[in-house]
Amino acid sequence: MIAVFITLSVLACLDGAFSGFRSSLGRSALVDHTADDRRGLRAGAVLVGLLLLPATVIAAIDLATGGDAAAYQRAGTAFLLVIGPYALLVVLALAGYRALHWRLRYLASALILGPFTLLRPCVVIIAAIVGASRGGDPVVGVSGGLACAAVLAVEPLLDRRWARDRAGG
Amino acid sequence: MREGPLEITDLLWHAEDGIRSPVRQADVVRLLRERGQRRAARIVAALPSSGGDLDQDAVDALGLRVHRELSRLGEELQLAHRVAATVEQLIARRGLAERPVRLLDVGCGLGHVLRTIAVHRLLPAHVELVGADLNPVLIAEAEHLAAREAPGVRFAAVDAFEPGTLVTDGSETVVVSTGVLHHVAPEELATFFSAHTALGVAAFAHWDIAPCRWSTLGAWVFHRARMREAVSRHDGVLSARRAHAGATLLRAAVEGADGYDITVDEGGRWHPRALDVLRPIVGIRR
Repeated sequence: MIAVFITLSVLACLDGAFSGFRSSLGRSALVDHTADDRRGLRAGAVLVGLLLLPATVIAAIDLATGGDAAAYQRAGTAFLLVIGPYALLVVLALAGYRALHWRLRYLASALILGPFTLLRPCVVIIAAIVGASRGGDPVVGVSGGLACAAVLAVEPLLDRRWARDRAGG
Repeated sequence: MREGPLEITDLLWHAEDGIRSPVRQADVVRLLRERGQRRAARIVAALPSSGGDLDQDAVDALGLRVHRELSRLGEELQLAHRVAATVEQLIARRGLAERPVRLLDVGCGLGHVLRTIAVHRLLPAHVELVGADLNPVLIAEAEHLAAREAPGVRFAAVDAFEPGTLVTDGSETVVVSTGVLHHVAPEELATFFSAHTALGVAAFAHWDIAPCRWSTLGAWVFHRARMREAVSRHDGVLSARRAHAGATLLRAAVEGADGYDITVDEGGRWHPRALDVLRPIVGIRR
């Protein structure tokens, strides 16, 4: 149970950070955008942590009041089975993007990173449905649904913040 | 103006002899509707306007945002590395390895390719980096960015092919561009290439999307995944759709660029080389 929770938390944190990174892309046209990247990663990680609070609080209250821990275990494991291969491929592609010669680097983007960015909401929603179904407990389903909504909301919210900052000069 | 579908960014900014003139929003919307581009027309109709003219400040700001997104996409496509690798070969083939060479990027936008080459020192120090674009707003931003991170790169808001402006010694100049050719109408391509002959440049290499089903699909995926501006998404996919076939480019270059050996480096229609989503047409002076 704890291992599943920790793995899900790490994945959520990574996903939030990458969402923040994506939201920061193409904002300055600087060649060296390391500072922007770091800001984006940090903003995404912090925001996903905040957005995940309702799901975490619901699960914590449920468990503290005699909720079915095994249901959370089943749901979390099922969620990981769906999201795991996706996450693994993304991490490998990112490693490839960093490590490969520039002539090959583009392939990591073309084959994995670009298309997977588009597929990401579908994968998360499918994982949430499978997780909720395997959990078989409505509170687990609500908690999982809120967690998925939180993860998917990070990038649009940060994009809105960029647009608001831009409008404010 | 090119026949067929139009890119929005080609319609929002108009200047004659360096003097900018207002663009009537209704005219652009009507033109796009006439071409059957209803989504594009809606995008333009939603842009800020004043007295029926598109708001120039808003258009400039939009242009900068679109080109910032394009810069990041160019980074992902490794454009600077592609350009530097080819230019290095061209310099060696023309025997310019020890002489001062000017690398002129035509339609450079925010100059991301040249600034990347400078920051990462992808070309030797004897290669001077100069970017040109007709849009002074983009050039001002390119200069601002260069001042921060690549002070050796020079930019100018001029017609790069105007004799005596940026090409002072053609024999020591290599002309490049990335993503520009599809903005040139097919019937004007030969004139575009003939400018190289007129200036007597040592070599040229112009990268553009190799049109095929894969590149259109890829453009859609990448612009959906990476671009936020509706204009970027629209124009990005259209770029792939209206890019010139290799044979068209080759025919125009052979007709226009007299005195150059010309090649287009691309794969087949159904099996494009996966690494060459943007491929160059290369000319080297005989």
